Amino acid sequence: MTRIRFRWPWRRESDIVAEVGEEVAFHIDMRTEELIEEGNPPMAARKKAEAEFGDLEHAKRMIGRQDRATESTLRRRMYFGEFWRDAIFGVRSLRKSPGFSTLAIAILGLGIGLSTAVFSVVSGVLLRPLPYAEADRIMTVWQLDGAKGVREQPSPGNFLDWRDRNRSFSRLAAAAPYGYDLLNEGEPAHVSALKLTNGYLDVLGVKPILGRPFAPAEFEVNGPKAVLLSEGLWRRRYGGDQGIVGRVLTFDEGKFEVIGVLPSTLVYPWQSDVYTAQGFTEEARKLRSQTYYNVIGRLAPGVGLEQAREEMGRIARDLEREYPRTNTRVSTPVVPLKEAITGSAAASLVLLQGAVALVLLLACVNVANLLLTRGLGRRPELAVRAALGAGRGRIVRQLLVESGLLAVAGGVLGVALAAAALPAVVRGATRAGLPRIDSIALDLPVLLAGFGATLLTVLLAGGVPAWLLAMGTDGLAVRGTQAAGEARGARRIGRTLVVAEVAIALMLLVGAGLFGRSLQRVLSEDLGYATDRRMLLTSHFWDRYPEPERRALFVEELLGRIGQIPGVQAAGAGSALPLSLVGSDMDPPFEVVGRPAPADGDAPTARLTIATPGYFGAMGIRLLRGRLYTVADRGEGAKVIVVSETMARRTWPGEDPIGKQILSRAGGPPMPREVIGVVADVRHAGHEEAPQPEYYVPHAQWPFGSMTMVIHTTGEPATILRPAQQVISTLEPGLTVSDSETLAGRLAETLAMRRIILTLIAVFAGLGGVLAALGIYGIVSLTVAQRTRELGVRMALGALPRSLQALVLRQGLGLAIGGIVVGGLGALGFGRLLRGMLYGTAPTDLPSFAAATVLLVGAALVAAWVPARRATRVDPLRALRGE
Amino acid sequence: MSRDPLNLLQGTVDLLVLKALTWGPQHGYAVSRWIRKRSEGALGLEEAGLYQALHRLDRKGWVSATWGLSENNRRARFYELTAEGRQQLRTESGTWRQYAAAVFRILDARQAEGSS
Repeated sequence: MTRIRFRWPWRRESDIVAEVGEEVAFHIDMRTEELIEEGNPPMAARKKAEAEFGDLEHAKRMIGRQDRATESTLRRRMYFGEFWRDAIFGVRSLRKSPGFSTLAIAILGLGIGLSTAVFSVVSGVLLRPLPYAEADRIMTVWQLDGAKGVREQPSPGNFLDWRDRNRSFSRLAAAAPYGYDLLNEGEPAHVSALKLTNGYLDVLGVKPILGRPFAPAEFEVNGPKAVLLSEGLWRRRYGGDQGIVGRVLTFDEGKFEVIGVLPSTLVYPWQSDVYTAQGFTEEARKLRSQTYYNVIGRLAPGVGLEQAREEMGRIARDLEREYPRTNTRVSTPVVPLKEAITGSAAASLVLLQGAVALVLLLACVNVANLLLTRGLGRRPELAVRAALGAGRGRIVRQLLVESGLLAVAGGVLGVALAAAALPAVVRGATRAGLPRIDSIALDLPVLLAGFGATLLTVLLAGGVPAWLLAMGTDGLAVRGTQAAGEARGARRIGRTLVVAEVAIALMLLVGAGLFGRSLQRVLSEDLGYATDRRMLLTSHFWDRYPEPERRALFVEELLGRIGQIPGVQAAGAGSALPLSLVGSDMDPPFEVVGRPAPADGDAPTARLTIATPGYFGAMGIRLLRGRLYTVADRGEGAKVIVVSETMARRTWPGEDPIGKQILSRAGGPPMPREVIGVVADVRHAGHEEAPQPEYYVPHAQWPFGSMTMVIHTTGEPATILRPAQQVISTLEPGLTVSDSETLAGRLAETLAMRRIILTLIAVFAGLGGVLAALGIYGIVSLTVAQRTRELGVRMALGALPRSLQALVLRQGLGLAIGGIVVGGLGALGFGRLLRGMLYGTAPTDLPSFAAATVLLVGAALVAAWVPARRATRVDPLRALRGE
Repeated sequence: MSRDPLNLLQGTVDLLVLKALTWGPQHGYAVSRWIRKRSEGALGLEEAGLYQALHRLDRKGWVSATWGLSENNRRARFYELTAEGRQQLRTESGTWRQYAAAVFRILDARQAEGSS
């Protein structure tokens, strides 16, 4: 028997040289022999043969070169040919089992689609650079009140000192939120505004798309009044009119000349309708107690973030010494602009991306398991191919090409799903109040990520089973599926995969449970006011009624008329309502009459709300003690206040607050105000904010010129809008009303992020549970199929169907419990990362873990029950006869 | 062979090699011997060029090469015409015949054209 030497399917460099040498030598030898036969002496014959051949070495080189070219062409052609054949074969074999292929593609498509969709948000909101030159050098500067522990917008006085004293920033500038009534042509409208200090646009590097930026003279307090429109308002209200520059707009504060239009890339602190120039009066320069500036700065060349932080810290300590009353324990955090913009959204997005990555992983594991199961069924086919000479690498490649086809189909489906879901994603992101919605898109980085996910899928879902199966074909007989020892190895891997699936599903379910419980806890917090059927209307009328008495009368008259509208249950007005985006700036320090005056800066503060007598009824704020004020508590009468429960408890612990007096420092000369009642706490920022101390002053005794009316209706609150506006325009023609919305709508906004996270995690977890159940079903079915003979024997020996069923069920349950233990440990580990996002719920919350466990055990039982039934229907005779 | 043999064009060598393989697989030495015999040594084909031609044709896919045993039981590289090579031989020899005929017509001319 000839031993066949091992040969590579292609020739290597050394092979080529050797072969060329051999071929030429053969020729020379033959010719030499021939010449000897013709009568030449051997030596001369060889010489002659070589001479006839020509330049030997040159010829060998030339021939070798030809051969190398031949080889590479051949190899390329062979490779592509095989790949192509693999692909065609793969498509054919996948089409033979359409159920399997559809399921695998659907699972992968779902996994890739979900992760691509979530990543489109992460990429747009978190990863994409801000649309400014060297955006990472732009910082925001804040003032952090150590006593309150809140990061605040700085005050004008502090901002100016920072600006003049620092060397870290090449430029420091501020924007102050503002609002105007626009009184030109058409309906009067309230427009949001930002007052920008000199240099704000330079810090960002934003230039007008039309017209020019502010001139230095326009920053003077009594300089020319100029306004820059936002791109949005310009297109909306003026149809993108190119001739807008030079037009004069009439605002409630006078006539302003339009000097240009700013692009919509100006997003910090938020997009506004119009921009005006902010100058500083002498009083404003001294203002340190009122905080409303958004300060940004561009780091000077060569200055790092730490250096800037250090210097600003030094300046803060200097100011603390100079202005102890307002600046004690006030520090100045420097935060990169991007972080300031994405801040609170970042954690949620990272969480969702993590959860969706788990889903993708689960999808991969699931498909890997499907491929493995299917591969076990194909072992005869693979064995035949191995026996016919297909190497292990060849078989791995065949299997990888098949899973690659699945993954590519899944990837295409996934990206299509993500593209189809994009509008919904953007809507969800808007509802959740995410910043930078505009930059959410299926752009190149997102598509690359989708491609990356697909690649990962091929490697994970295809590579592992392909490798395992190819291992199994080594020395495998073409016997069939029965009782082959290696199958057990693959099945063990399969079981491990199922345990992993259950573990991932459990983590997702626990996560959903934790967020569900958090939301439940959040909703169970008492807001202190009712939100259903409450319509809000805000109006500014300082300029219309300069005299305080007339403001008071106007509000009383207006509310009286609105109360007459059919369908109105109650109406009231307050200076700053709960859930409004712009918080009240009014939490002035106060003193308790009869106690020693506190040291500077030590005076307690409380939120101050100016409210009409009807406010409490319209808002549904409960009276706990004493009485509410009435229309009888007028400006000229005794000054009265109503305090919240928290204020009462903190200020007069263990005492009856009724009849006590406080001295408020804000709003003119301090005067004593007497407590006449205690009302329930109001959570202004929604359920999650702890109640703050608050007191209410009658509008008649402090006639504020900017009030929000709250109208409690009997029916749909939106229907009251038109009649209410009619009443307003009859009473005060031209008065604009802004921010007309319902309290319930505002409340929903504060809960939107939580609800969206919960919904998504719940969907992910549900998917995870189904996939895990599918995995259990698959592996248990496989075992039953492979143990048919054994089950038949047991039955023939008298085992009851019930006990066989239990045997199979136990296997499914065992897998589930294994996964639950692993996943439980994982959930305990990852849960700590969630702590900051949970509310009133520990990451180790027992009910969440218990519910997840019960759900998965249930799913496992259902999944194992189907094959278990099949096990009891095994026909002993047929099983014993074998196939 | 006192006279310098004719220098052969590359395409001509290819054609001769293809023709030599018409009757079945041959190793390089047999091809060389056959051409020498048929041409009675007139072509003076250098073996170096012949082998280059064989490998060139292999690369073009007109012949295929395999290792086999020669008549005296030595390992030798055998060349065989492929279907493509056979086709090529037909068209190339046709072209060559037309070319040669044209050359002959000129060489055999008895008088200048147009003077009749």
